[in-house]
Amino acid sequence: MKKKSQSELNGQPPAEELKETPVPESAEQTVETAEEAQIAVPDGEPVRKDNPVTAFFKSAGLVIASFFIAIWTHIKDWFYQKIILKFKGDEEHRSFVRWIKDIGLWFKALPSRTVAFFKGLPAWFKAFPSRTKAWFKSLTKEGVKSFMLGTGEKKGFLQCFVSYSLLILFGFVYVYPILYMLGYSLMSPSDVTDPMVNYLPTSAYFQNYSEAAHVLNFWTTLFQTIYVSLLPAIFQTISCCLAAYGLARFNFRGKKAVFALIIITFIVPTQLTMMPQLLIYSKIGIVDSVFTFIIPAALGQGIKSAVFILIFYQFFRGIPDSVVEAAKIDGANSFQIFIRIGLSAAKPAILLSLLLSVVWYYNETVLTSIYLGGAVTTLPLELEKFEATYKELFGDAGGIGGKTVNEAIYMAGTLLSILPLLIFYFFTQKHFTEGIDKAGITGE
Amino acid sequence: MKKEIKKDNVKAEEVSATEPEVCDTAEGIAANEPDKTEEVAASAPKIRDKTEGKLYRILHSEAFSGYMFLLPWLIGFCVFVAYPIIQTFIFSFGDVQIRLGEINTTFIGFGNYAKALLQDSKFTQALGDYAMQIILYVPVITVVSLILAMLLNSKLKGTGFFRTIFFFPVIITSGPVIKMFIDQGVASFPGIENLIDFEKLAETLPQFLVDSLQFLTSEFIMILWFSGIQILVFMTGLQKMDKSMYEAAKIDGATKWEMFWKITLPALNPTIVLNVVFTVVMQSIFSLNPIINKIQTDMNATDGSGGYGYASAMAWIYFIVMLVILGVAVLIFKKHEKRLKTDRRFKLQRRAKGAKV
Repeated sequence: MKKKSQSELNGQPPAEELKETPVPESAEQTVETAEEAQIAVPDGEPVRKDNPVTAFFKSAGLVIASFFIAIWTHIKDWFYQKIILKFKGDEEHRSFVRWIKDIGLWFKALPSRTVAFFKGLPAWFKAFPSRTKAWFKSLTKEGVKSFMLGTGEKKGFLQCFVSYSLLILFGFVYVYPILYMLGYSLMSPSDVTDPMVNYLPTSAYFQNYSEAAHVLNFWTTLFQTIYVSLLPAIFQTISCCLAAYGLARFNFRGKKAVFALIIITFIVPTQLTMMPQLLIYSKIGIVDSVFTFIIPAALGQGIKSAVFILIFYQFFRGIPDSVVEAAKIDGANSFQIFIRIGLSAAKPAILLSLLLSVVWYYNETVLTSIYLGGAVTTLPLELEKFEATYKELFGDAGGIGGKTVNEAIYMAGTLLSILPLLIFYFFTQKHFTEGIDKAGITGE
Repeated sequence: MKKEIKKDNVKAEEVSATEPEVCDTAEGIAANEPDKTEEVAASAPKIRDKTEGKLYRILHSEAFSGYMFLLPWLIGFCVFVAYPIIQTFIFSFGDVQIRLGEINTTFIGFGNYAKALLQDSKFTQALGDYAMQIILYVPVITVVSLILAMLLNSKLKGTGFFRTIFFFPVIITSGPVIKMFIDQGVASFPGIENLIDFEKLAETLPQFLVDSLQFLTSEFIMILWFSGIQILVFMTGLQKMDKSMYEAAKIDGATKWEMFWKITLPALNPTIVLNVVFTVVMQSIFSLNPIINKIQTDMNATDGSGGYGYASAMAWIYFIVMLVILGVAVLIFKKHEKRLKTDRRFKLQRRAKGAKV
């Protein structure tokens, strides 16, 4: 199926181009159309001139059409797998249609099943005494012991109970601050001052959120934060990947020294390198721009780069030597081997390092406040000066009706600033935990 | 490790030995490589000469490719780590003043260090707080994450869900958020102040113990929040463990408690060291650290009290203290590991002797 669709797609765009290119030679023509026209029409053919306006629309239409086709070629497979398969189903996936059919069958059989249930009830009650007797008989010492402590592979009730209660306790402790914050952030000012209202507000008061979003300047700041965290993360992933591959797959003098240096970069506190780095940046003239993050990241010295290098190192060590040797004999050079074999082996690590470094850059406040100055702000930075901004916006400066920031609004602001990360985590949590799991770093 | 490297070396030699032969016999392969043939055409008319040139050998050696992969990192290290560290070291011995982008450094010897350690009570206070924080944090985080990892590692249903919960604080822990939680008193269990009467405890226990206990309870949830990655690392450590050991111990009649202390912990020792180092470093970098604020405010101070020189000296002292703490932590666990290993070896020897008798 896949092959067929690909051949279709490969065939489609040129055919369309041939049909639609009327060789516009006007002032409005775009670069793309000019190129396409050269491809489509051989030299020496008489050129038909178009009205500039129609030529413009035609060329624009062509660009748009090719754009959509390009998108469709990229999306099609994904679309097919995600959505169409859901309805059709295959051996592995239960089909959506069958699922709905099953539900229909269940409802159809419901009356007969209820009748059968009520018919069976008297027999059940009749057998009840004898069954309880049998149950009590089975309550021997060994039976209870094996139930409580478990036998062999099977876990005992006691162990399960203790484990689950501990897990639930700790899980609650972990989530408690967020839940508390969620409840508190929805409190109206009267609820905040009321000592009777403790955890849950009397009614959901969403104005806190709108005010907090206004104070944080939410959307602008959010986009800046994504910009500041995503770009360095990409560069950091690339550079760490390269360095780790060099360490893991080649033998050279001074390898141990390089390892020691990597560990030093991990241990050295940022305060030790911050000031001269700032001087360097101001000399080059890139202070207050994202380049203060991108350039170190691209050279493998971003936030906690050493961790990523170690993660990649573990993955690259796991590549079997025979595969690399085979590629060498086939005439691939080391960089080709890295691209073809190394990267495909380290896919989970790439994802993990991308995600983790996005998160770590997002949460960084010390470096962001120094290097980026006031030019670019991030949500955590805005949260740091939340109170001051609030006073500026809603405070006494506005006249008599000045408000003071209350805790509920502050909590709403905090929740808003971590909300993008929570959503991000909701979609990617599997990759985080599995990536670390697969990396298999245990400290040897 | 050494054996592996030797093996690799041998392999590499074998490959390099076989390579010219391959090229000689099968010229088709050489023709498939445009880079090489071009180079050959430029350097010498003979095809066979290409593997004999010194430059070629260097360019195609394993070490060269390794260095090429490491090159960006090495440049980054020199520019963004090595040079700044040296620069900070030089700054720390002088009075640094920056005016209009020009740096004037006057050498004043150990003046900055003396000032930081002897005169500035705020700095020594912050340093003490930091040390205290690390000493309290590290054991709690290590123990809790080990317990949670073992719970998650037992084959119960729904552990994936709990793993997700335990990891999520890693995503949102940033300075302002944690600070806000601590300010609002959400960082501790609700009502723990009513459960433990610290004033009564102070009558019987020494003051610093009570203080540390109070500190622990007031920030307990936040401490737990820092153990997300450690839990996962412990989990991988536990999964990698040799299961035959447990079976052997079971046959010998060991209880689960004994198995934990005699098998699990010794095998996990490198993981524990890694986690301790990770925890210490993460805490030292974290922006709520008391010293970081101190250094930063002094760095930007223009009234002669601070300046780059003084801040550099403080950063160096901080680094040395951190190294000492790290060294002590690692030493404690390494020593423990050695003892356990010798212990086990001794027991095995005795058992072997007993078997012979």
